[in-house]
Amino acid sequence: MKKWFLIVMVFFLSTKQVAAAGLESSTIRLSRMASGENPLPVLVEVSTLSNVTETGFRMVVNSAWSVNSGVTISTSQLPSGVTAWPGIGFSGVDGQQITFSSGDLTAGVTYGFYVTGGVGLNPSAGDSSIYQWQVMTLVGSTIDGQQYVGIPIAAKDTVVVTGKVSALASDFQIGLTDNSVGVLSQNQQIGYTLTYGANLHSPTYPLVLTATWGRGSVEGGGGLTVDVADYVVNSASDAYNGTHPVIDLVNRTITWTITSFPAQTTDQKVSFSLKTNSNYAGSSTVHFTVSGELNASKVVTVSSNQITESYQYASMTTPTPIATIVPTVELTGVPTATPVPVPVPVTITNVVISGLDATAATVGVEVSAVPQKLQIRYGLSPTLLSKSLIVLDIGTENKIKIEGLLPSTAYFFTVTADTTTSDVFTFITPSTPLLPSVFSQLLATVVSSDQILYDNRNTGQTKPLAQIILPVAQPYMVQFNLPPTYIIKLAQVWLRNKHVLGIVSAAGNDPNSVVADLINSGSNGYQAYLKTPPLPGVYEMYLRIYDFYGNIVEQKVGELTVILPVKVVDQNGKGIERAEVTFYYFTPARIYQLWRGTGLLTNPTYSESNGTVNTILIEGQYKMVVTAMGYKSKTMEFVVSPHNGYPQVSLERLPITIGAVVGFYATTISDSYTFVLNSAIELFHSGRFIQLLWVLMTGMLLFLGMLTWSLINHIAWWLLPLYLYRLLIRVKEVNTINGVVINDLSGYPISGAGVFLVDGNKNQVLERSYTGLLGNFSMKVPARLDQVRISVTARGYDPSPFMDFKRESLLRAALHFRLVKSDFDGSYDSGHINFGRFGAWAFLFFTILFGVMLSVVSTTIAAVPLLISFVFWYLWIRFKL
Amino acid sequence: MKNYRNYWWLFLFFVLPASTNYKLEGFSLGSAGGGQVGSSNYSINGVAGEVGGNPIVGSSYGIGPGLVFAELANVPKITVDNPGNYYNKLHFVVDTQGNPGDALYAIAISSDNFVTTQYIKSDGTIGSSLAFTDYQNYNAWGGSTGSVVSGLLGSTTYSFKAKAWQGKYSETNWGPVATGATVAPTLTFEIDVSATDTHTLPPYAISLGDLYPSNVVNSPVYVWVSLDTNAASGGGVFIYGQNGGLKSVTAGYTIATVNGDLSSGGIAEGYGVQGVGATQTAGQFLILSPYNGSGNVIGSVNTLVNQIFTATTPVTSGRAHFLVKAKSSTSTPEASDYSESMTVIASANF
Repeated sequence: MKKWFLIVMVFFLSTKQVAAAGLESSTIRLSRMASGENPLPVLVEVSTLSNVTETGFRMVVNSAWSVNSGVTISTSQLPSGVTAWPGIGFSGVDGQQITFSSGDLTAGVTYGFYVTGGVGLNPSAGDSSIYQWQVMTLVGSTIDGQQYVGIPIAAKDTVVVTGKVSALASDFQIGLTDNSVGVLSQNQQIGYTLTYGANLHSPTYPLVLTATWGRGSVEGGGGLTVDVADYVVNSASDAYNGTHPVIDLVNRTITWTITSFPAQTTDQKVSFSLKTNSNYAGSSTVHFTVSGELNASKVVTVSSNQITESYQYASMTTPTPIATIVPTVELTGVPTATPVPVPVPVTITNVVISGLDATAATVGVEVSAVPQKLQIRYGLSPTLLSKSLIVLDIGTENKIKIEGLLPSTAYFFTVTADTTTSDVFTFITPSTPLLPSVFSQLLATVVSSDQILYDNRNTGQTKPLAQIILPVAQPYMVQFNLPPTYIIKLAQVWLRNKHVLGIVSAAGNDPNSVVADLINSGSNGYQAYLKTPPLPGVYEMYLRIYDFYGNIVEQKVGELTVILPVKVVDQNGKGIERAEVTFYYFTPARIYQLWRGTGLLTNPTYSESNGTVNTILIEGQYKMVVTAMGYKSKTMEFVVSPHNGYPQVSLERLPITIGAVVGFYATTISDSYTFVLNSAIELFHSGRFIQLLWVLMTGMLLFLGMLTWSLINHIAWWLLPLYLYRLLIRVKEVNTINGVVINDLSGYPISGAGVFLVDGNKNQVLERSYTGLLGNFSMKVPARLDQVRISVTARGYDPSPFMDFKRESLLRAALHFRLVKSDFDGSYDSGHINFGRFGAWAFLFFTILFGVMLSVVSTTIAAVPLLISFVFWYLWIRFKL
Repeated sequence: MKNYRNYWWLFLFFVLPASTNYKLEGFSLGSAGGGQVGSSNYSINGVAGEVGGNPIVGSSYGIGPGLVFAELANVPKITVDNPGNYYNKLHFVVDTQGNPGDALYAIAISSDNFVTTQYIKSDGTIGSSLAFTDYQNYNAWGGSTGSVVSGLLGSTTYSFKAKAWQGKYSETNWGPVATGATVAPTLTFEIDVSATDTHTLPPYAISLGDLYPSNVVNSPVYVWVSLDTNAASGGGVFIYGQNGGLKSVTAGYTIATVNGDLSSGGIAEGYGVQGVGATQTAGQFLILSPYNGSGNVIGSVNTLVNQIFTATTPVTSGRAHFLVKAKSSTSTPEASDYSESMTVIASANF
């Protein structure tokens, strides 16, 4: 076996005579044997054989060491098992020979001492170097024993052990604060500040700060998420040492990569802003979180406190028509200079990555005004944006496609609009392109109120959505057939207001109307429930897909025309409530035919309080007949198309006659009856409602039973809990007697009556008690008494005579004392055995049993123990009395 | 008056010699008072009278000194070998060459072919003088088993010769010279750093990687130590460190080496080694306390030389290994340059 090893051979070179071997063993160790480790010390260990009286010790040092007269020795900190050499002392040096004085050494004991100086430096030895020293014990000047000792000098006997103690989370500082107050609404800007630092002993290479804002979670939306906040371009400040932020819009993060962050540096700050959008126009509250993270040396990750923001869409009122302002010209004698327009710098309001594949990215850029120059500079490093694209057809909303990219590569870019340059943004191109079949066979359905507005699933028509017409604030559902779920990471429907001649088509300025995630509804179906924007206009519907490879694909799939609903008004434009509207559609046979309606949309239908009529009509020609009490009926023909919304019908008021009033209210009563009947039928179809009835009935029976019980027992109903307590709890007391004092005539309890417990032998009053509200009393019976005497007195009643009882009978029974009014000469009924305890327990048992069964089984079966309980209860009441 | 007590040996003749081959039934010395009787089957040499050279005088007779036959003992031989591969001893057996059991022998020894002669003392050591007490009979020299002379030098060829002495005036000359050689004292020492028992080349380094609070980190590799020595008292392996722990220059902090259980809450941080195993083909190679713990019990590697493995007898193919353990605490300053130079030493007790 090829093996590196060091063999130390110790041999004797001397041919001189040697004395008898008085040494059992001897060792010389250098504390450091590797070359270059100087100085020594040398540990000398010797064990002798003979029991002569040693007086000295001599050591002949190998000539590789330089011996001088400054020899020093020490016997401290010797290894375990080594005894300090007695009497050892330096005597002198003769060449390489060092002589020491020594005390007597006991045979078999290992003695040692260190030579800490005077021996010089270690020789510069290589591997396998052999050095011999000679040691000898002396008796006087005679050598008693001697040995040669081999000392290996090895250059490779050192093992360097290294370790690293990484920073802990507690070594870093990070915190996040914001300036938002309360619930946010759309288009509201929130400022955030990340405070960071490090308490390390050494710099951090690198220290990466990351701020992340999440998608909003719709409260009560069953996991529905929406993007309600966007990064405000150029809002992120630089971090330590001028480190610029990099914004990842796809993953909604801002990253500061500080290449070297110094030790013991804290309270550094960066800031950034988010702005709420109006993607979500629903009424629910949306919560989204913003958090910060610090990653040091790619080892320690520290998260900041997470801030949860609440957002709620603020409904927009229907815009009031603005009166046309007629420009006026003021004529003055002094001509005024033509004002010079002050140029307003173009700001970059929004940047999005709307498309991304392995070789290209589409960047959406929105600017505050049309700049003269719009440019994108991009590259593979945030500090080296070597390539650029200049946009030729510039608008306020631009889509710039960067092509020729490499797959699986991180790119960085900035947008420059005139003199304004954005932050550095980043994206990573995916490695695999999205399957090309995503849009090639797109099948879609649009449904609102059971009215199918579009469906190409059966027609096989591959072209996606055409024109959809819906009233404002109308819920509707879109469904797409998309590739399998293992490809689709996220699919969204975006609804953007369509610009007509560069002007938004909506009545108000609400360009980003709706965005909603598509929910996988099984198989390849993805659907989303939306609500049309509150403002009429033409909206473009886009389908955006994020796949698991990182691709982002967006494509327009249709247009949605949002119109005002059918409305019935009077001559003053005020809405007419309860107007009956009947729709007829124009058939291909060129005749009007009654429209049958759908499941949720009836025909005829009736106007709301504001006169609007809730109906949805697909494209086509219609006729509607509108009647309302007090108004003249009206028939109107109209066309529903993207260019023609639903009509507004104005009715002419008529004089009100008695017949019309009667007819109106008869119709109202009829409608109300129908509504109540239908509601009751719906209600009784509910098993939960039947169970509720059972519970109510049971509770009522219990209440009536308790009321009856209180009457029979002459106890006020509100004292029943106290009575039950007495029965169930108090009677458990040991060594006590319990009883009740009642009016002999009426049976009502007597409160405040005195009950005296008397020693039957000594006629001495031992205990005194007074009856409570129930006429009850309780007294302790001294253990020493076998026989007691009891007397009861009450104001207005004749006192009872002393009655003797055995102790055991007292403790088992409940006593009933009947007192008579002072003018009544009656007898006393005492010692009545009280069966109430057993009966109450039994009643309680059956009640609990009933309750349990009621909660776990059907109410029909639960009625059985209920009946048993009440029968038993009745019998108990009956026979007890 | 003659002292007849000096002639007690004459009674030997009254004990008829016998062996399995012969038996002397009787003998007569004749009138001369002495003579040699022999036949083809036996012989007897008897001396009567003044063997000491003094006349035998009685009251009624006197005998002058007769012929004295001073027969020398046979010259003994000696055989020498080194069956145990001793570095400081040799084994020898005296060959009596037929001398009687009461013959005494002296043995001379020299490492330079008797330019300088030393003698084997009665205690088995060597000395420069030969005393009467250094003459020992055959049994005292170990009989047929022989004996061992110690205190020799390693890697040296020694010459042996013996002489016999039986009775007065009968010491023989030195017998033939026999030689034997000691071997060299050996100490073989090697270290390897590897996850398995295999040979590795220096420089040796162990990276503990990241140390986390309350988490004992084991070195991913072992330090393997080979020790092979014929030292009579065995040898040992020692370790010590330069810093007394894992020291960081940047943090100005040292994770001190400790003795104890790193898993216990009482030790917030620490560094040390733990012996894992020791094997050998001959002798006994052992892990010493406190390095022989289990679990996360470690022994310290401070700046003193601490013995981790030991052998009290010669050990052949000793192979032992240990690992390094360390733990940091929440108060341990972060640094990536925690380091310790651990030196491994071997020594033998010759």
